[in-house]
Amino acid sequence: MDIFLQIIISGITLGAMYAVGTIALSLLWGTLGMMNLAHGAFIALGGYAAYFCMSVLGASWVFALPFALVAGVVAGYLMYHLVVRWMYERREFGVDIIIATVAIAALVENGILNVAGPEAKRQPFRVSGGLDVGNVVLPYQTLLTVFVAIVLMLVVGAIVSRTKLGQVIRAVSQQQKAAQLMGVDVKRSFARAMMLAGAIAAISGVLVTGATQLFPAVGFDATLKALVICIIAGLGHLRGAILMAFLLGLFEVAVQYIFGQRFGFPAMLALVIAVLIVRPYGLFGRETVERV
Amino acid sequence: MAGDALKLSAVTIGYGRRQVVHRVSLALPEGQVIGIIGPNGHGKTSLLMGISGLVPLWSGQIYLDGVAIDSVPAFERVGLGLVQIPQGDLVFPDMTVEENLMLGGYLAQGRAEIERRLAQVYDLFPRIAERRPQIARTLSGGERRMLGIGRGLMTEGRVMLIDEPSLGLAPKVIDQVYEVIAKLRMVSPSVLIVEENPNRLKEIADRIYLMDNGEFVWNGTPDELGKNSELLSTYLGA
Repeated sequence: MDIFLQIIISGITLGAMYAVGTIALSLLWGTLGMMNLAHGAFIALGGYAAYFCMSVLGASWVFALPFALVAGVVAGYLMYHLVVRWMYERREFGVDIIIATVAIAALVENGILNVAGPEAKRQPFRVSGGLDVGNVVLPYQTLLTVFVAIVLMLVVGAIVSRTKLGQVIRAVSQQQKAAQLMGVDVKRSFARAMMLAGAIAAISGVLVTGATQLFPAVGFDATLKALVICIIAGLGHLRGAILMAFLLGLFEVAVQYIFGQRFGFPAMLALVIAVLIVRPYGLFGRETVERV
Repeated sequence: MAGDALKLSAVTIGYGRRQVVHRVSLALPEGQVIGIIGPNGHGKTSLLMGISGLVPLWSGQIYLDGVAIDSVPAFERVGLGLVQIPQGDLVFPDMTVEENLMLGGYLAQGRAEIERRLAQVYDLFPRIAERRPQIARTLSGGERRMLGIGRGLMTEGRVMLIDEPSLGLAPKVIDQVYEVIAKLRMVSPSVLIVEENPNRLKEIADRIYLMDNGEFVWNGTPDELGKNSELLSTYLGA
């Protein structure tokens, strides 16, 4: 019973972190049709921004998340204006941008390596201790992670469904030409979507590094998993991706408990392969016909 | 004398190396409806997309109310009063009918103005009003077409480009769509409409242009077209 509860708690925590990552990826896939493999760079950036804010500047923990958020927004803005806007109109954008974002990820990772050094650091934005629930200890860090992740999802959900920015993001992702014909500045909406995705990734970076450690390549694992979840759910299907994030989080933790730590990720990938064989467009995705 | 709402001067459009519209000129006087007919794949849609800015011109000029707009990006042309109702409606499939219409009012200032336009569109299209909360992808073909037109109306553009509103619809539904288009003139006085079938344009167009191989090969009133059986059989197989 305790083990079961432990699996549920760990699974949900992991799922919450995955969900935040998948939202950022789905957002960019939906609006720009771009696979952002620099997602991990944003995660690392967010983690280091919080670290810089608290450990280097000595600021209160209150400023850590806002500071990471601003770093993410700036990173998204720069990525759009320095890279994406120059490539978008090309026919091979979908492939080119994957390579470009891998390059960006490598640049950011090595930049951090040079500035902050290779050694793993402790994320200062974290809480210690825990809450006793029966025989299970519920770490405060876990509660914080789940809380921030849920708030983040609600905020993003509200932005997408209720604001003018959200209206534009949905319009552009559903029917870009028509959006233009209604007077929507599609390029500006791209920049904004990237800023939003950057902010989400950076905040998730603070959470991820709080749960583990801070090192330059910290975002790699999270990117890979977010990517896997997006694909398994069906690219661009946001609600499906969030659901899958939690299910896979639980699945991974359950496999780890039952078969051992090292089987978690391979089991997840095996599941993905199985899903893709049966439903190539993902569990929630719709079959699409691409005209060439 | 009323000016030309829209004027094209030697407009040339192409894709890659292939030129599909060759030095086309046309004047749409304010308050009139011009129909462009001709076989499929002869540049009619490309011409409309060039006017709205979705495809770049190779050369030539476009004037809206006498002002050159050929270097203005597509989304800004909407703000200047040019609206295109694209072929195949292109509604936002996962939004409700009302959300689709709201996007048509994207450039409108203020909630009250959007509400006013919504009321006007619902007034014109009671069918659409009934479907307000429905997701657009679940509408019938004819309803989607009407939604596309209603969404275009929401922009309150003064010049409206309509691309093959009858495409892929059953004859009875086409009748309904054209009833709606006839009402358009109450809101959007100047209309440029593309159709494959000239019969649909007879009642609403002031003038008809025949496009073949990317060029206008004839223009005249619908009556003149009706009498010119040689023209009809050569180009339209009628």
